Amino acid sequence: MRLQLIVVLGALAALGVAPAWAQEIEERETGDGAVDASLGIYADDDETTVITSLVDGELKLPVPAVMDAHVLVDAVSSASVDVVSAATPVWTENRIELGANIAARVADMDVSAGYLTSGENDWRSHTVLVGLRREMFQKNTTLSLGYAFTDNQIGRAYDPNFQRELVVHGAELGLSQLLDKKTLVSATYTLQRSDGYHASPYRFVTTATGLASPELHPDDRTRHGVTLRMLRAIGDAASIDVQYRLYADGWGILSHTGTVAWTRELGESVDVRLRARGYYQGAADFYRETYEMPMRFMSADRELGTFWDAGGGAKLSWTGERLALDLKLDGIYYRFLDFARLEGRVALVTSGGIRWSW
Amino acid sequence: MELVIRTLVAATLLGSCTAGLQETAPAPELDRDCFRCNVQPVLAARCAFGECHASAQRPLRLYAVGRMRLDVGWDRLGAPLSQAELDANYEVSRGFVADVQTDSMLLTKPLDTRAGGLYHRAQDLFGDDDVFLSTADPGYARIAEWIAGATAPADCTPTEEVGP
Amino acid sequence: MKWVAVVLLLSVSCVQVRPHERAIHARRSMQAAGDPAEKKLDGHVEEYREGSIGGAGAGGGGCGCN
Repeated sequence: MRLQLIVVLGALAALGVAPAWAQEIEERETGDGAVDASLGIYADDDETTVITSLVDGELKLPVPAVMDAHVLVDAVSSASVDVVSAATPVWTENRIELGANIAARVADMDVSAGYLTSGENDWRSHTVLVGLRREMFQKNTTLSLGYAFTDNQIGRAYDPNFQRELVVHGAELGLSQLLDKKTLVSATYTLQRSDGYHASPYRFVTTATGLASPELHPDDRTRHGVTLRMLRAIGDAASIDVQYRLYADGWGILSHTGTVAWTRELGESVDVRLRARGYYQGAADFYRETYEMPMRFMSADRELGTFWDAGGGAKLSWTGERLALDLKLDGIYYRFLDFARLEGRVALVTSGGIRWSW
Repeated sequence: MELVIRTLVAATLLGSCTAGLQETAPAPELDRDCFRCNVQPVLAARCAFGECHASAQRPLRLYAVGRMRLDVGWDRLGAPLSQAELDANYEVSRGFVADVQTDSMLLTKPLDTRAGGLYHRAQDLFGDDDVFLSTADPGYARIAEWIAGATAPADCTPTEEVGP
Repeated sequence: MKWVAVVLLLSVSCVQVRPHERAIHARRSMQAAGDPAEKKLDGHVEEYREGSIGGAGAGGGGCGCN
């Protein structure tokens, strides 16, 4: 028996801008490429709608490398309790993200480097990403490592004199292992450290004594995530994918995420997937539903409080020789356990995509 | 299972917790008589309108004679402010006083952006001019003096010099 | 620590899956990487609405999703 590499942490880390991982670089021919176009719509009963458009293109270069680039646009419209409680009418905003990435085969490794930039009327961001992937033991084992640096410049809408910064370092270590002919297991460890302005310039906290203050968050935050996954074939045309994520950070938040997805191939081209997901989060140490007295750190962000959400949905895909289509519908229910202004929220997320490859 | 989770969490959080997450931070004890005589008149004259801060929806929520009231009926809106209303205005105002006094939103929000202030929707309501066009405005000066620790005698009379 | 040991054990296998035995792993329903566009859109919703990170890559850019 050959000694397999034992690594404490693992999972196949699919960097958001490295789709080249999905297919071996050396298996592609020069000029092979694809274009993806997707549209997603998020709408909830808290009067918030987000329409996300994504176009992504990739191309195999004459060298062992694949280049890809994408543009993503979010159109946000909100009259949520947060917006209305600040006596603001419905608020709209567009966010544009541009990204490019190159993945190359170097010696026995795949390396990638990428750049992202995004902008809204009150936020500018620049991200640099690098990644490594190494397959071992006849590709039974895959080790991956990624690092990202993000610089965020934070403003306040229409306010030329408000300027803050948030710097983020992120890293991910992953391992995947073919357990047998039908089973893939993996685990990921994600670490993120952010320093700077974490609050929202639009949120205010009012204490029980009537004292109001802008939101005050700590200047630093260290975040950890461990994700375990098992993907196993069932029968001759189906699979089950089970994932669990444990998250904890220096603000005292502890969360659990569980996802189960069942995929069934229907014939040569059609797949259907059913998925369920659950999330539970404990509150940050400094979060209070009501502050009895002023504290050094205070927040009005319900997403730092205790809440859970549960959702599920279905996805239908059709894959042809050159063309692929998919359509997805998910429903999510959120329940906030320590936020009086909003106890629950129901959201629907629909998305559709088309992929043309050559 | 809980022991396992706590072990994992403790191991991964080693050295990464932010200190002082539950420290209290009382707002500065500013002079109440100075507020009553020098600041409240400015807030009433320059800020406490129905479209502005005489609204329960605003973080800076202000009670004023003839405008929003806390414990006075609709038929007595002209009655002097009660002690509870004065106390509420004092509490909500001192909550915006930061450690660096010139950064207090009580000063930076109503100050015109061309004079270094933050964006304030009043600028749109008042035809591109904010409440205080410069730091020389008497209303700005009175608030700044109060934040800096100014005091007033207990029998002081509310000022009428509140600026333009 | 039992769960950590389980993960470690899962990483050690007496079975090595040879290339000609991986037909099942090549099936559409066994694609571990998934659809990159879908991951980006799903990650977006979770980033907007939840307080956690992890499992989807080292970084994905900044967002004033507040």
